[in-house]
Amino acid sequence: MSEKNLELNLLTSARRAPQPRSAFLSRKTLLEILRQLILYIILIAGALPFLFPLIFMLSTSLKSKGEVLLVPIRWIPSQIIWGNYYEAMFGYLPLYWFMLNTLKVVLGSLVGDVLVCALVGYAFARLRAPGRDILFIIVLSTMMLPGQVVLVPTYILFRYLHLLNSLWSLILPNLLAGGAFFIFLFRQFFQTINPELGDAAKIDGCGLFGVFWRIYLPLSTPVLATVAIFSFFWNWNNFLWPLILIDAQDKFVLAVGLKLFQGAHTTEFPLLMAASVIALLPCLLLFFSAQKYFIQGVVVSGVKG
Amino acid sequence: MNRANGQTSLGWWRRPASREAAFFYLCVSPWIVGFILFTAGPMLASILISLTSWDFISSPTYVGLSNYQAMLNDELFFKSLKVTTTYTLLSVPLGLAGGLLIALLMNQNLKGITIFRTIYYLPSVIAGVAVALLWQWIFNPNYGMINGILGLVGIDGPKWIYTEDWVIPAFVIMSLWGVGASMIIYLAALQSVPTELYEAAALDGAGAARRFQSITLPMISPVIFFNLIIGIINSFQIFTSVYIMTQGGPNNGSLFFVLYIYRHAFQYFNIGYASALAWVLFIVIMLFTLFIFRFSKAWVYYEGAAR
Amino acid sequence: MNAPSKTAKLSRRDFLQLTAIGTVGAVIAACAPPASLSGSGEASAGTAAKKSVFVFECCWNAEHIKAGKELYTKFRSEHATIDVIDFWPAAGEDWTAKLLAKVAAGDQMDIIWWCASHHKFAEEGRLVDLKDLVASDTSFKLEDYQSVGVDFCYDQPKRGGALWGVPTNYATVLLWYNKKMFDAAGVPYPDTKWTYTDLLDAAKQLTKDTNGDGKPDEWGISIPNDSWYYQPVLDAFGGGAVNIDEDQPCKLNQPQSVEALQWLQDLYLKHKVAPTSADMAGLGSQAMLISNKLAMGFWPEWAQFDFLPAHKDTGLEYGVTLLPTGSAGRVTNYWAGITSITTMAKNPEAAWEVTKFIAGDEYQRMMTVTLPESPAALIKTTDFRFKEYDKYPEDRSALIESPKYGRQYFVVARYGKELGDIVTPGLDPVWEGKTAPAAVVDDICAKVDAKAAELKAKKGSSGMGICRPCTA
Repeated sequence: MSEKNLELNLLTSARRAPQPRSAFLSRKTLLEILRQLILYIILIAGALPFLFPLIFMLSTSLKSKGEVLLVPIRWIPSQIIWGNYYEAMFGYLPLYWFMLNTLKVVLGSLVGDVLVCALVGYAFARLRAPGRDILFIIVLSTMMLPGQVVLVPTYILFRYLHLLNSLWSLILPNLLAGGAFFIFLFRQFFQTINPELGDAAKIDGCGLFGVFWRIYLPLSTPVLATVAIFSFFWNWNNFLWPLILIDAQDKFVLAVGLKLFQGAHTTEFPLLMAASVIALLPCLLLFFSAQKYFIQGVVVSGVKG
Repeated sequence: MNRANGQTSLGWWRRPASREAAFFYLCVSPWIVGFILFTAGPMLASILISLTSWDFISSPTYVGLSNYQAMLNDELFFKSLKVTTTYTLLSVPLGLAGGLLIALLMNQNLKGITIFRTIYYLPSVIAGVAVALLWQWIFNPNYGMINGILGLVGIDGPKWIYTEDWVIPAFVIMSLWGVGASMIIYLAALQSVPTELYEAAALDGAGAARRFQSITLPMISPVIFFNLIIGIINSFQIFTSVYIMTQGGPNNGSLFFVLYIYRHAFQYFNIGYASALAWVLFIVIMLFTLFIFRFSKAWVYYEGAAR
Repeated sequence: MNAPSKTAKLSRRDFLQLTAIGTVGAVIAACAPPASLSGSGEASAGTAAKKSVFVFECCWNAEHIKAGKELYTKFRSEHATIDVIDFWPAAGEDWTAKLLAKVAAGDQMDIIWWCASHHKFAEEGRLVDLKDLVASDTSFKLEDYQSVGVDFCYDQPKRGGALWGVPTNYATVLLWYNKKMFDAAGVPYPDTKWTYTDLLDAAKQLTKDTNGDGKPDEWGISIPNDSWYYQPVLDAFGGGAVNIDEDQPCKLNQPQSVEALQWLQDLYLKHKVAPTSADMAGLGSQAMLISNKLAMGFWPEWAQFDFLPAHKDTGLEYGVTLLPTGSAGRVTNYWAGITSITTMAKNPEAAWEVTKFIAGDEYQRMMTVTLPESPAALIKTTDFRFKEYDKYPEDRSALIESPKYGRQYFVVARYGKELGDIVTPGLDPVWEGKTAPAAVVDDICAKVDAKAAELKAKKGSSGMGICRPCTA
C-alpha cells in the first residue's frame, strides 16, 4: 500500500488536488517526507553531471591563460582573474554590441516563432483542408536536408533579395514561420486539446480565429513558454546563418563574435569561457522566469456530460 | 459539427467546410510565403546541383545521375550510413525514455524544483567548443570522469572516443546528456494533461502504474511522437560535436553522414556529390518519418481522433 | 467555457507584452552602430575615385584582428587612392564555407590570404600569376622570404610555372621539452646534434611509473598521431608520406617509411615511452608537458602560445630545439600561408599594393607578436615572435633555423586533403596497436595511388588543407 502510494505520488503529485486529510494524516505526512527525501537524493545525484559544464566554464573563465591546460584540472584557480570578463567584453571586440544585435534578432524572431508558428500549427492540427497532410510533410521535410548543401544557394538567394548584411536576414525567415520545429510542436500540442471545446465555442458564436485565440492559445501556456525558451536559445546561439549572411562587423551577432576567440590553432580559453558565461546568463534568466508558466493550469478535458 | 445543415443551399464559399479550408490556407500562408521565398529555392537548387559536377568556382557541368551512381562504389558512403544509423537506433530510444523519466521527476511538486529543472536543462544550452572540450576530458580513459566512476566499481573502462569500437557508444552517452530539451517538451505535455482525468481514475481506484499507462502515456503520446520524429531528424544530422571531437576518427569509426557531406562540400569541393549525398540522407530520414507516421495511429492518441 | 478564462486573460496579456517587446526590438534594429565598427567588411564603401580592394583575411585570433585592423587604418591614411576593405571571417572550419559562398555569388574578392590551400583556385584559373608584377617591382624581392615558402607559391616543383602568391606566414615542427623533468632525471637537454636514437634513449630515461601501478605516469616523448607530426620522421628516415609530384605518390610502403612507422609504433607498444592519444588528457599532449607529465613533444611554433603563459602563470620551465636527425638528415614539416590576388580583382595594381603591405615589414613584425603563426618574411630580430617582455625561452634560435629544414606538408599540397583522409584512418589501427605498419601500408598506398590518379585525371584539387588536427 505505502509503496504503491509512493509510486503514485511520483507520477502525479504535481497535479494532485489538495484533499482533506483524515486520520491517516500523520502517517501520510511521514510518507510524504520520505518521498521528498528520496526524490531530493535522486535529483541531487543526477544534477552533478549536468552541472559539470557550468562549473568547468566558470572555473576556466577565471583562470590565467597558463593554468587552463593543467591536468588534472585545477577546479579552483590558484589566482582568480576577474579581469577576464572585462577583457572578453571590451578588450578585443565590442562583444556588448554583438549582444545587442543578437537581442534584436532574438526578439524579432520570438514573435514569429511563438505567434505565427502557433497559428500555422493550429491550422495543421485542427482545420480540415484539401492538401493539408502533404503540406505538413513538406513542413517537416524542410528540417531533413543538411544545411551544408543549401548554404551557398541561400547566400546567393539572400543576395538577390538584398537582405545580406542586414539583421532582417535572420529575423524575416522566422517571422514567416520558418521554424518547422515549432509548427510541428504546436500541432502536436493542439491535438491533445479536446476539439469539442472549440466546437462548443463556435456554437457560442466564436469565429474560426476566435477558437484559436480564445480557446487553444490560452490552454497552451506551457507549450508557449517552451517555444519561447527554445526560440530564444536557438536564435541567441545561432552561428552558421549569421556567419554566412552577415559580413559587416557592426552587425555581427554574439555566436560569431565568440568564435573569434578561437583561432585556427589556438584558443583563448579564459576569454572564450568568460564571454560564454556572460552569453549564458540571459538564457538562464529567461528559463528561470519562464517556469512560472510551467505550472498546472486549470485545464479541463472537455465538455462533460 | 453540423456540417449537413448548409451544404445544399449555400454556395461553396459559404459552406463551413470551404470556409474552414480557406481559413486553413490563410493561417498557413505565412509559412507558404516564407517557404517559397527562403527555403524552396535553395532546396531546389541543391537538387539541381546534385545532378552536376561543381566546385563552386568554375561553372557546373551536368552529369545526370552519375553522382548517385558513384555512391554505389563508395565504401565510405556505406560506412557513414551504417555509423549514423547505428547511432540513431541507439540514441533515439534512449533519449526518448531518458527525457520522459527526467520529466516525470521534474514534474514533482517540490521546493526548489525550478532550480533542478534549470540544472538539468543546462547542457542543452551550453553549446559548442566548451562542451566538446569537456567531453574530451570526461571520456579520457585515464583522467576522465566516466572511467573514474567505473574504476570505483572495479571496471576497467574502455578508451571511448579513442578507439573505433567505443566511439559510437561515447557519442550516444553524450547525446543523453542533452536530454534536457526533450525533457522540457515532455514537461509541458505532462502539465497539459487534464487534472480531472487523474481524479476520475483515482476515484475508480486505479493505481499509479495503471494511471500512467492509461492516462499519462496516451495523453502525451502526440508529444512522444514529436520527440521521436525530431530525435530521428536530429540524430541523423549530428555534426558539430563530431567535427570538434573526433573528425570522423579513429579509422572512420565516427564518420557520421553529415561530416562526410561536409568533407565533400567544403574540403574536396565536390558540392555536386555532397548535394547528392544530402538528398540520399533526406530520403532516408523521410522514409523513417513516413514509416513512423504510418504506424503512429496504432499508438498515438489524438483528442477527437477524427480530425 | 468558463474554466480557461483565468489563464486566457493571463496569456493574452503576455502576447501583448510579447508583441510590444517585438516592436521595441524592431525599433532597436534601426539604431546606429558604434563608429568604431563601421568601415570594414562592408562592400561598396568606396567612392568612384578610389580603387576598392577587398581582402578576405585568414583569421588567426582576436588579438591579431585588433592589431591588423589598426594597421589597415594606417594603410588607408597613407594610401589616398586605395579603399581597402579588410574582411575578417570567423576562423576555423567555416572559413572555406564563407569564402566559397562569396565566390559562387560573384562578390567582390580581390585578395585572399589563405587559411587553407590555394590549389583549387589556381587550377580553375582564378588566381593572378604574380611573376611579372614581382619582376617589375624593385621594392619587392622574393629573396626576403623563406625559400621553402616561396617554393610553395609556385605552381610546379622547382619554381616552375606561375607564381600564385607571396609567402605570408608559416609553421614547422620543433622539439619542445620540459626542463624540470630533464633535470630530475639527470638527462642533458636535447640539442641540435641529437639523432632519433638519442631521442629514444632520453625518452626511456624520462619515462617513469611514479605511483607503481605498472603504467607510466610521466612520459618521455609525444609525437602526435597526425600526419603533420609523423611526416618529418618518415622523411628523416629516408622514406616519406605522399609526394604528389611523383607518378606513384604514396611512399608509405617504402622500406624506410615502414621502418619509421615501426619506430613510431614501438614508442607506444615496445618501449612504452610515448602516451597514446588515449593515455593523454583530453586537452592534448601540450597540456601534458605543461602538467609535468610529458618531457618532450613535437609541436609547431604556436605551442609557444600555450607554453609561454604557462611559464608565467605556473612556473613551467621549457626549451625548444630543432627536430633530431635521422639517416636522411634533418627534416621538418613546412606549412605555408600565402596571399594571392584573384582574377576577379578589378584593380590589380591597387591589389598588389595591399598584398605587399600584408607581406611587408610592418605587418610581418606585427605578426611576430600577435600571431600564433610565424611571419614568412626573413625577419632577423631577436624579438622573433615574442613581445619585448616575454623573452623566453632563452635560446630561441631553433625558431629561426627550423624553416631551413622544411619540406612541404603533403596534406596542404595539391590533392592533399583527400589523400590525407585515406592515410589518417588507414594508420589508426597502427596507433591503436591493432596491427603492424607493414601489414597496412600496401593497402593504404594502393588506395592513395588510385585516388591520386583519379584526381589527376580530372581537375580534382582539394581545397581545404587547413591544418586543423594540429591543434591536438
